[in-house]
Amino acid sequence: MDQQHLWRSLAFAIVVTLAMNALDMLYHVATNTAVHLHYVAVKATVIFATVLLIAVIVGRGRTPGIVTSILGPVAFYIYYTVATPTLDRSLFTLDEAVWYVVVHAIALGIAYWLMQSQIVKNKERLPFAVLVSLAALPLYWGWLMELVKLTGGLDEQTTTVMTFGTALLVLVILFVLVYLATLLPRSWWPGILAGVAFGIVGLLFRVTLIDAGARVLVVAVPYLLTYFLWGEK
Amino acid sequence: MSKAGVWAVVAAFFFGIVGSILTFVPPQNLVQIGLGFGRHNDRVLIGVLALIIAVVCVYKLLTLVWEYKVPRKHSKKKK
Repeated sequence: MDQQHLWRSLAFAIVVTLAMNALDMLYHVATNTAVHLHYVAVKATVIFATVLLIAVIVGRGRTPGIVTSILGPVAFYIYYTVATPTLDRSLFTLDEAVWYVVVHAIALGIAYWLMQSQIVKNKERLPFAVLVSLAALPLYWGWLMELVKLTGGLDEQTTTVMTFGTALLVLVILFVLVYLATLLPRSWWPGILAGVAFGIVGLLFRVTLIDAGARVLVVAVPYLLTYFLWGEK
Repeated sequence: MSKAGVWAVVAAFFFGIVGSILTFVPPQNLVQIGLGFGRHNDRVLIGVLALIIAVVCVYKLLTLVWEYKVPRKHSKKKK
C-alpha cells in the first residue's frame, strides 16, 4: 500500500473526526445536553477508527462518505448502550436517545463533505477556514476540560467549561484568525502564525504561558493537517 | 476470488466473532472463559472497534464483488 495514501488518510481522519466532534459538541450545549470528556474521547476514537479504516481500505468519495457517516454513529451508539455509565445519568442528559445517531450522522456527513468535496477537490479559502476552525474547537474545548481534571476537578465539573455562547465566540475568533491566515501566501507558516495569534489573545485574557502554548497547537495542528490535503484532488 | 477478497472474508469473520463476544457477552461470562482483562468499558470499546473492522471488511468485499460484476469503464484516450 502506498505510504502517502496512509498519511493522507490519517490526516483526513483526524480533521474530519475533530470537525464532527465540534458540530456535535455545539449541538449538545445548544440543547442543554452534557459534554463529558470521557464520552467525547470514546466518540472521537470510534469515529476516527471508522473514517480511517474506510479511507485506507476502501477509499474516499461519496459512497464511502455515506457508509462512514452511518457506521461511525451506529458503532458509538452500540458502545453507549452496552458500556457502564461513567457519569450519573440521573443528573446529566447525554446521548440516550436513538435520535442522536441521526445527529451524529449529520455532523459526520457535513464534516466529511466539507473535507472531501470542498477542500480536497477545491482550493477555496472559506471552506478551509470553516473546517480548520471547527477542527480546532474540540481541541481547545478538550484542553479546557483536561485542565479542570488536572487541577483536581471532578468529571461533573468538566461538563460546565463552556456554554453555547462561549463556544460560538471561540469558534468566531478561530474562524477570523484562520481566514486571515489563508489571505497570506499559501504555505504552512500562516497556520503557525494564526496559532500564535490565538495564544496572544489568550495572554490578553491573562492565561498562563502553558495555556497560551496549548492554544498555539490547537490552531496550528488542524491547520497543517488540512493544508496537507488542500487541493489534493 | 482475489487475494484481497479472501483476506476480507477471513478478517470479517475473525473480527466479527471477537467483536461480538467482547461487546455483547455479559462480563461475568467473559471472566469465566478467561477473557476478563481490563475493565468492562475497555473490553466493550475494543469489541466495538473489532466490529467496525469487520463491517469495513464486508464493505471492501462488496466493492470487490461490485467491481468484478460491473468492470469500470476506461475513458477513451484521445489520439
